[in-house]
Amino acid sequence: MREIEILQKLAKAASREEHPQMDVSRTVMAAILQLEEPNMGPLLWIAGVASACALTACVLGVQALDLWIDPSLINPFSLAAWGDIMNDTISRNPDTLPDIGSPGPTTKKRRWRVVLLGILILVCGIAIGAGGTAVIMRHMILHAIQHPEKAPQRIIDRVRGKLGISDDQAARIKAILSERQKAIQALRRQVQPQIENELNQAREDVAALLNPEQAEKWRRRFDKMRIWFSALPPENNSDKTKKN
Amino acid sequence: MYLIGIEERVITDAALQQTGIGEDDIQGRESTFRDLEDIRLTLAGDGTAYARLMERHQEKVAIRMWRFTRNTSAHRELVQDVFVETYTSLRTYKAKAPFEHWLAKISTAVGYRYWRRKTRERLNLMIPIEDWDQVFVMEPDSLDPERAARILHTLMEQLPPRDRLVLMLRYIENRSTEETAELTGWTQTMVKVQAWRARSKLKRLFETSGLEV
Repeated sequence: MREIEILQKLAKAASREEHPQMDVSRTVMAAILQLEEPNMGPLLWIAGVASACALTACVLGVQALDLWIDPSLINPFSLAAWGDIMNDTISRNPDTLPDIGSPGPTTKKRRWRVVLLGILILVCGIAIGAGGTAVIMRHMILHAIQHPEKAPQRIIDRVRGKLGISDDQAARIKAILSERQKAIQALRRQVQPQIENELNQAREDVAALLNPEQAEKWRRRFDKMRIWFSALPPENNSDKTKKN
Repeated sequence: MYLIGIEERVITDAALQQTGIGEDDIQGRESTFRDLEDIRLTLAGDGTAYARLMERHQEKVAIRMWRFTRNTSAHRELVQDVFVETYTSLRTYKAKAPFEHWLAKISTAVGYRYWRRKTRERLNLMIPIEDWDQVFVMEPDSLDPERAARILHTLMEQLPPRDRLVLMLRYIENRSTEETAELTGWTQTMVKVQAWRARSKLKRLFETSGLEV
C-alpha cells in the first residue's frame, strides 16, 4: 500500500532526528523513595474518625454514668426539659425565676468530668493537628525543593495582596525573580556534584563502621533522607540533543 | 526467588567463543547478566543497582518514548513513568526474556496510555502543503528529519491510539506480528485485524485530507 510506503519513508527520515538527552535517574529514585514512604493519608483519616468516635463515646458514657448515679440529672442534659421548667415556672409566677440551687457534690463531680473531657478533646485536637500539619508541610517543602521554577509565582501570589501590586508590576517582578532564580539554580547545579560526593562519602564512611546488617539499614535510611538534597530538574532551555 | 536459574544463563566468554557465537552475542549476554544481577540486588534493597539499570537503559527508553510525543517535558515524564512502573513491578519479572524486552513492553504500555489520555485533546492539525510535497519528491535521506518527524506525528495523531500503536510497531519499528502481539498483549489474530483496520483508516485519512498518494 502506498500509504504505508509514505509512512515508512517518513519514519526513515525521522529516525535521523535528534532527540532530547536526559538523565532521569535522580528524579526516578526520588519518586521511588516517595512511593516507598508509608502513606500517612489513610492512617490520618482512621485516626481522625477513631478520635471522633472515641470522643462521642466518652460524652455518651459520662452522660450514661451520670444518669445511672442520679436519674434526676436528666434535666440539665435535656433542653426540652429545661424549656418546660422555665415555661411552667414563669407562667405560674412571672417574677420568680427557677431556683437551680447551689452546687452539690454531684454537680462538682460532673464539673471535673467536663474539665477532663475538655482536656481530652484538646489533646486529641493537638495530636491530629500536629500530625496533619507535619504531613502537609513535608509535602509542601518537598514540592518546593523539587519544583524551584514555581517559586517566583508563589512569591508573587503571597505578596500581591499585602503590597497592593498591579498586574504590570507583578509581571515585571516575576521576570526579575525568575532571572535571579535561574542564576541561583545555576549555582546550585555547580555545587551539586560536590554535595553528592560529600553525601556519598558520609554514607559509606558511616557504613564502614557498622556490621553488614546495620550498614544496609543505615544506607536505606540515608537514601530516604537524601530526598531533601535531591538534584534540580534539568534546565528547560538546556536540553542537549543527541543523535538518534 | 523470581530469578531462579540466573546462574544457568551465564555463559563465559571463552565458552561462547568456542561455540562460534559472535561478539555482539557475547556483549548481549554480558548485558543480560549484568541486568539480572542488578535486578537481584535491587530486589534485595540496593538502590544503587536500580540506578545502574536505569543508566544502561534510559537512552533506549528515551528514543522509544520520543515516538510517543514530541513535547520535551511530556517526553521526560514518560521516561520517568516507565522507570517508576518498571521498579514497582520488578518482582513480577521472571527473566524468561531479556530485561530490555520487558522494558519495551512497559514502555509501550506507558506510551499507549499517554496516547489514550491525549485522545480527548486531539487537534486537527494541518500539514503545510509544501511540506507534504517534499515527502513525495525527496528521498528519505534528503528529507529534513525534524520536519519528517513532525509530519509523521501530525499524521498519526489523527488516528485512534490502537491504530496508531499497531502502525508504529508494525510499520515504523518494523516488528513482526508475533513481537507486536507480545508488546501489546494482544493475540496475533488481533494484531492482524487491527493492522488491517489501521491501514484502511490511514488510507481514508489520506483521501479525506485530499492528499494524493
